[in-house]
Amino acid sequence: MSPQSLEQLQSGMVLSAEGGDKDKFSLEAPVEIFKTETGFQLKTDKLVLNVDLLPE
Amino acid sequence: MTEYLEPLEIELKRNDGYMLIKWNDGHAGRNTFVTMRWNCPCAGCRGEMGSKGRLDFIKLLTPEEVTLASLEAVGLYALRPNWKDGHETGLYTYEHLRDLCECDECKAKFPDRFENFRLTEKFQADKRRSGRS
Repeated sequence: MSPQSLEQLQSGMVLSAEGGDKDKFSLEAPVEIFKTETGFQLKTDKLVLNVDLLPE
Repeated sequence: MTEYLEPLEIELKRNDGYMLIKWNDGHAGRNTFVTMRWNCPCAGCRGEMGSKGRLDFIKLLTPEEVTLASLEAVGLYALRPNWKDGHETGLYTYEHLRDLCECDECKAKFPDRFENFRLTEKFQADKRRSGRS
């Protein structure tokens, strides 16, 4: 799943994470993103973030 | 013993009003959005320099105020929730989030932490004195 398609899942959502000055990342950066049963998962080498989708 | 407290995995349950956090010290935490919002650390909500904040003058939060729109990790020390009402100035340090943990273990260990959802002055003073983190 690309960041672009993730954005289409829920437009207007901002979801990012920073790993410090040396390895900042966000949806635009190379964060691993996976679709899950209830939403999606963002994964870096330091943190896994599981997000459920809110109804429109 | 871990030197720095940090989450390894966060599971947002936005539809249910809470999130689960697996911490690097092995703790499995649970934070409700209601309690998080009542303990928003920003100056506007909690006040600053001895002056009261907005949370000191209200008795209820709206559904939008306790609905998490999104979440941002800030550096290696905090999370910044973006609430559905547009509020996004509260930086919740990992230590603060841990203080707000409402898992069964934390509720049993610190049964009198909250008064009307907010951390008591006594709890915070005891923590400062003990230096526990």
